[in-house]
Amino acid sequence: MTDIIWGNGSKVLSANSFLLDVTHRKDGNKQDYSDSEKITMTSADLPGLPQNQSDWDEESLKTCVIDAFLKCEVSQRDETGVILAKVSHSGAGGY
Amino acid sequence: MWGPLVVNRLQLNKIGLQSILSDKIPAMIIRNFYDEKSCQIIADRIENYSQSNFQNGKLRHIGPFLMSHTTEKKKYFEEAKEAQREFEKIFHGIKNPIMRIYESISDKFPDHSMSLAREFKNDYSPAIIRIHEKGKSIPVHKDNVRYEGKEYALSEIDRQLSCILHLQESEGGGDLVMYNRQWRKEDERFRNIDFGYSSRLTESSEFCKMSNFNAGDLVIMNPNYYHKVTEITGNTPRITLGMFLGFYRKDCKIVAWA
Repeated sequence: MTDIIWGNGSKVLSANSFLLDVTHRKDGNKQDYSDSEKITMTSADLPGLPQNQSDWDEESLKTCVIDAFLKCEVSQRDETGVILAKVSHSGAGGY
Repeated sequence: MWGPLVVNRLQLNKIGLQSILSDKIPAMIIRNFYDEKSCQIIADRIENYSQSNFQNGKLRHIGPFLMSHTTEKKKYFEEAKEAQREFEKIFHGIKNPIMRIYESISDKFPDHSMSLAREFKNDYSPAIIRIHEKGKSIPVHKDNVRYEGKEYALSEIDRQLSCILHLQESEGGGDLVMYNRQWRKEDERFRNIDFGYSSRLTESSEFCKMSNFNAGDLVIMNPNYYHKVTEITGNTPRITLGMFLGFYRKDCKIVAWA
């Protein structure tokens, strides 16, 4: 089962990475996660962010992730401690 | 005291609607907006409606909801087309409640055009019918297409109102609670995982509770104020028809969608 963390984007680091202020962790996660994690996006499903990764840039990422509530499905943590994850909006609506 | 304006259909006027748009009041309740007999016909038709299209075989809604398709535009517009066909069946032979709402709003804003929202020849969904059964509640949330609907042209609107027509009431619960606090982006820190916000966000806010709705009552509200629906406690499902209205100031245009 994939580890999942949720939280709010706080700072964009590059066209595909940002800092996440972690607010929720899935019960049963195999790894521990601190209150602030560096995330590199392997794929994304975010309103306003182009589907094609080559079209991502820091400005559009800022608009999409700063303060936004995000779901990160973790694929791995690399040797520098950065989390590689699929990032998506989380439960915008449904009622 | 912060609370809704309660009127009957003949008393629905532009001043009341502008009071919501200018944040003077959170909502209006228009009693007997739609006739009770037609509400009953619609509720009966929904009860007999085919449930085969729904994943768990339990009918929860008819028509898509844009906020559930924030990054799935194609799917949303396909479902919207299907919803129009379903609504035609459900409202066949009776006054279409969606049109009744359009006419009432349009009548109060004669200098505005009023239509279903469209984008590149695609119609948005005109409404959503929700069926809420015993035990169901809706947590504290807001609706704001300018923030959540960035992928859609509709996110360019200036103001958003929400219209909820009550078609069938449960014997208990299903009250609408509105908090005197509007959403702002930094509130996203209080999000729940699946939907809505932590109740900590609104615990110190002034609020008003709207109860005792009857079939045919229409609520018009500013959905950027945090709001929730209390648990349904009766055996009869609560059925509502919901839609949003978007106001374009410069173009003097009102559009509707769900």
